[in-house]
Amino acid sequence: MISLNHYLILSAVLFSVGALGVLLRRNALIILMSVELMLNAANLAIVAFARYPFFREVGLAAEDLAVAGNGMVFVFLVMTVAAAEVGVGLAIIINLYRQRQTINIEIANLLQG
Amino acid sequence: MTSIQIPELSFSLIAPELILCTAAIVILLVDLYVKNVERINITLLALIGIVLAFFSAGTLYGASELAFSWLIIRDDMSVVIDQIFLIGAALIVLMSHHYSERYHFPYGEYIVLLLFSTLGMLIISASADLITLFLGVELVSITLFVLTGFEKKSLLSGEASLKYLLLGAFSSAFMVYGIAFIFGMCRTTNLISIGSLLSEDFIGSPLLILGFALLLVGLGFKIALAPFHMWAPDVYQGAPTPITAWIAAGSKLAGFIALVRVFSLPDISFHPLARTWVEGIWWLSLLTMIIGNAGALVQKDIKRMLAYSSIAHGGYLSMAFVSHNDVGLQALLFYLAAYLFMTIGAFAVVIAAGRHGEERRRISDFAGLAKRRPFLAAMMSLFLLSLAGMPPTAGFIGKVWLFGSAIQAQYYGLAIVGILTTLFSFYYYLRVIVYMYMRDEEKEFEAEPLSVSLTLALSLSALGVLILGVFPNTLMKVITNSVIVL
Amino acid sequence: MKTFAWLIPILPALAALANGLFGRRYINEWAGHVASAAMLLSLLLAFICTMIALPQGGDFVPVDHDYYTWLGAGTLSIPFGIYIDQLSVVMMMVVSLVSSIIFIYAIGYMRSDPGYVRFFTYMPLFTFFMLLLVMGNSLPLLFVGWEGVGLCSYLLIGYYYDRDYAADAGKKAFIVNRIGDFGFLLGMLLLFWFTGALKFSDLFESAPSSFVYAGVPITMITLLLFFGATGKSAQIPLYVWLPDAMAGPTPVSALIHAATMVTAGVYMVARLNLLYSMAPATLFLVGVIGGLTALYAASIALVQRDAKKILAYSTISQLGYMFLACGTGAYIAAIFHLMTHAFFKACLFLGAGSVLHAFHRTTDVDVFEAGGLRKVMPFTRWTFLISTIAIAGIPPLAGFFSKDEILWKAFSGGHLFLWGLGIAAAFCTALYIFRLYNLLFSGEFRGTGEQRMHLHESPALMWVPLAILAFFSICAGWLNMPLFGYHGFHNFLHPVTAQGHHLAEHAIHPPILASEHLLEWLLAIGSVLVALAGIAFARLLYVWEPTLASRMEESFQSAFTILYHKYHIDEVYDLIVVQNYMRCCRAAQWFDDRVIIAGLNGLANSANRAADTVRKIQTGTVTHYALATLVGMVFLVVWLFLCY
Repeated sequence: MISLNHYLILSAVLFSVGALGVLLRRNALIILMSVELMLNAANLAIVAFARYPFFREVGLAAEDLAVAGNGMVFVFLVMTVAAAEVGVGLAIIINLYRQRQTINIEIANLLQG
Repeated sequence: MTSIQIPELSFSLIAPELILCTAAIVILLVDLYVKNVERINITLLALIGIVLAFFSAGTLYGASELAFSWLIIRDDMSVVIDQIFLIGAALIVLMSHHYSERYHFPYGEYIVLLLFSTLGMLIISASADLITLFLGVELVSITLFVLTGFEKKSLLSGEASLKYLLLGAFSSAFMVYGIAFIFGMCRTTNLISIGSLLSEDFIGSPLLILGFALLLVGLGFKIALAPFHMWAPDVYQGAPTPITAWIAAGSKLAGFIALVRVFSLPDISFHPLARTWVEGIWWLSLLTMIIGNAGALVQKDIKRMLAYSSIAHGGYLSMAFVSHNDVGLQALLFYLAAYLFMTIGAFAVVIAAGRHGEERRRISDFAGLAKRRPFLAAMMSLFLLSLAGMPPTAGFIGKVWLFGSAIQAQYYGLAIVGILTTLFSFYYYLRVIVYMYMRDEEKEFEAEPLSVSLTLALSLSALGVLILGVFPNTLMKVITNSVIVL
Repeated sequence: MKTFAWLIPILPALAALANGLFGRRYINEWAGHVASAAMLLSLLLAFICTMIALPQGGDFVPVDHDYYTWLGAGTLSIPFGIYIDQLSVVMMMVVSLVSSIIFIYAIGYMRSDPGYVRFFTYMPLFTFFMLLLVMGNSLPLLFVGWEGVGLCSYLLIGYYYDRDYAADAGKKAFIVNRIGDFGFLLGMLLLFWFTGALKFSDLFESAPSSFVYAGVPITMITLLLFFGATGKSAQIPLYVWLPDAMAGPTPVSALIHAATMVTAGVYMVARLNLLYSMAPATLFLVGVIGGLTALYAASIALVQRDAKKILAYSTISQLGYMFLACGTGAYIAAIFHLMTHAFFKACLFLGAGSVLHAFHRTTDVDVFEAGGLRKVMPFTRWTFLISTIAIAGIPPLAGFFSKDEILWKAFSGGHLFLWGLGIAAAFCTALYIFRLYNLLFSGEFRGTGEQRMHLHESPALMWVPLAILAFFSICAGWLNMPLFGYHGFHNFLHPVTAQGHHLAEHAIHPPILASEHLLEWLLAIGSVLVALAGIAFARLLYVWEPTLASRMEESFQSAFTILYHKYHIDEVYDLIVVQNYMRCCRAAQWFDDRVIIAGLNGLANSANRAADTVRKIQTGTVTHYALATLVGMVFLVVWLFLCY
């Protein structure tokens, strides 16, 4: 039986993988993807919480429908925002590539100090 | 089969947001379909939209209602904050009019993005739900990512926007994850419900604390609290100067308002959770004040110096959350307004002192400005002295009020660090004044003649700083009333 | 009175505004006249206030009027208003009178300076803040003036900005003052927290009930406020900025660094005497610091070579006297000395300025290069002599009466140690001030021939103000002559300190000697004798002995240069003044350099180190920033779990 905790642990793992990706990779595109992974981990947690309101193991009571809806709508909004972020992000990365012919973030450190 | 009930839609309560959104869309369409639109017309359209939104916000005083299924709260505080945001936006539009001409930005798109970022701020100030709050924060961030990279030819601008994007998205992930835990524990994302839930005998689980901590990280990033501040100096330096001003003033203001909405939930002052946040923010505030001021001491670039100064101000401002009382909240709102004027003013001077391809970027470039352009030098001195907290400017009143709130809440250590770091801050603010008045310029540096729009922006900011410094009472009364309603 | 009193500070502000905005384009060489006219008008108004208050004497009911509520949020309420009681009246008169005179003098002195307009923008601005400081009816308003005069002082010290030392001196003054302000601000906030009041009238009402006599809170608050005063009024340990502040033009030194701004600390203590009277421990410290500063600064003044430096240390020393008086609870004596000192010190500084003018210098003149100026500069000489005698404390000039009252109050209050410090400082005062006078005006000219050619008396626009100041240096002391049973000044100011005295006497009974007239006379004669001894000593060293020596030199080696002559005086000095004493003075100087300045530098260094660290952490790589965020998050979460 898959319980809420399973989902939460999975989401924590995904979140950590994403965070590690941000820390370890040098390619701006991959960093952006890692961030998306983190957002999806959060989405997973939200959906799981929406599915298991008030720590009930199975089934949805009528009053929990609102809670479920609330969570799922939020997930959709987060996905939309993430999509917008990626759209803007790709544009910015392309611009960077045009300027420097690379998207390695270690090269982009004119601004420091 | 239950019929779907459409909740009551009270559009009048979000009139400022609607007007601003309409203005942005109109400009977008005009820019798209009308050929060769004069720059000035776009500016005028934007200003008309902002002014209309300002006055429509003014009619909403005393409303105090929840709308759109509790997604939107329209209290007096949100109205005051909206109006402050709109004034700031107008000033930025005026600055941008001149600056975009200098660098040939695609002006229509630029202004549309600017207006949308303002819309995001208005949404934040009126949000009663974590979902609207999140949307507002993201709307502000995403438009600012683009605006930061608007100088497409500039390496610095491109790099700044990349850093802002990656780190901004990174911090958003923390925020969403935090909201997820709060939602999971409270079964709602509505802030009012969360507040009343916490004020009952609700024992928060560790996950709830984790949720609030992650939310604090996400919002702390937006307002550049140390150690989440590191994007700020780079982005401030690289972004086009009007956008730097808007990030420093508008976006920071928005972040603080979001924090106010989240951490000043009604009825939970004595909840153990509230005390816990205070412990966390205490450290962040302390660290931010020290790092911000220390970093500013050795900067050679004026925008970078102002960036660190802005970080330091984030530290002073977050003191209000530590004191966690009415006085602190009032002081916070007042200081935010004051801070908006002085920051925008300082960056407006930076724009006015340069010309195409040759900006005054290094602090030493400001040498001899007093002789060449006495008006600009006087304005800069006013804004810097206000940032430093010199009476009788707005900065002084705000600082006294903030430190007073910390002392009232018996956080002496924090107040002492605040006052001490302020003391050190005088050094780097005065350094600029010393350069302007007491050094001769190293090379001929003739700035562009002052345009009407920039003069307006400068004078209005100066007026704001002085009026809030000499006659702070008007705003203060409004703020005091609005906080009581909250 | 309230209908026009607000004009008193506003008029100079308007003059500053006019000069600042239109100075360069329209006003130009009339800037000085605009400023002086505004200043004279506010002097007239201040005089009218005095004329209203004076006949009523002690019965004068303080005018406390709010023109506008500056801040009014909940419990916090700060009005823009004036508080005119006997103390403010005296301060207003002193400030506006001395300012008017110095403004007029400066028209002549600054005539050919390229920054004329700038000068006459800052100076009225300064006066505005100073008048605000003494007339404001709340502590924050006082603080506004306090900060404002600091800012103007900073701008004026750095007036000759093309010289590095001037800019550095300005910065030093500002930073040191900020350290003091830190104490002031903290004290003010604490005071508000305890009493909930910031207006003086509310404060005086609520303070006796809000604080326990000699309790910790009141002691803390008064100590913090006094720390602020040590910055502004240049007392140990924050006096270091004042000698350097002499880098500004001489009228600035006269107005700001001698007559008015530096007395702000004394004014503040006198204004809040009610609070200080409730904190005997603070009062004790105030007295000790004042006494030590008086002697310490006077001893340093003995070995200085620059005329303005000598006067600067003299100012520090005289301010020490005022704090000594405050420390013994003799606030009125402090204010009395503040007033007389304003006149004779302004006169001394302007006289020194007149000498600089003759030398065509702007800031410093080595006293050993001067000499014999009495022949070429008769007006300057006589006015300088009068104020010299006044500061030395010879009756019937002003300095005698005020200084004697301070010493008598210290003695009769049982503070024998402070009295001893005061007497020793009095001897030094007479010695260094006559050393200065003798070196400048007596003997023969020791400068180059070319310099001698250019020596000239200053124009009337400069010596008439000197004469006016000299007149006040003679007469100001006659306002209060307790020796002759005349207590006019004291009676006038008595209501200001009555409540505080009442409180202090209720709590303890200090061993106040009955006012034995004979003893008072004996002490007065004693202090005059000490002063005379100092004068004679100075005369011996710098007039009688060198001429003797130079005659001897002529018979042996006629080709001795003036340079040698200078050296000779140093040798005589070394021989006669005990070596140990010199060592003491040098030790004071060393202490100054090593401990105090080094301490400040250490603070600055650690700030720089922190700044470097921050800069190094900011590597410019996104990864590192993300790492910082993550680490910050982990610490935050752990900390919150620990706190929960």
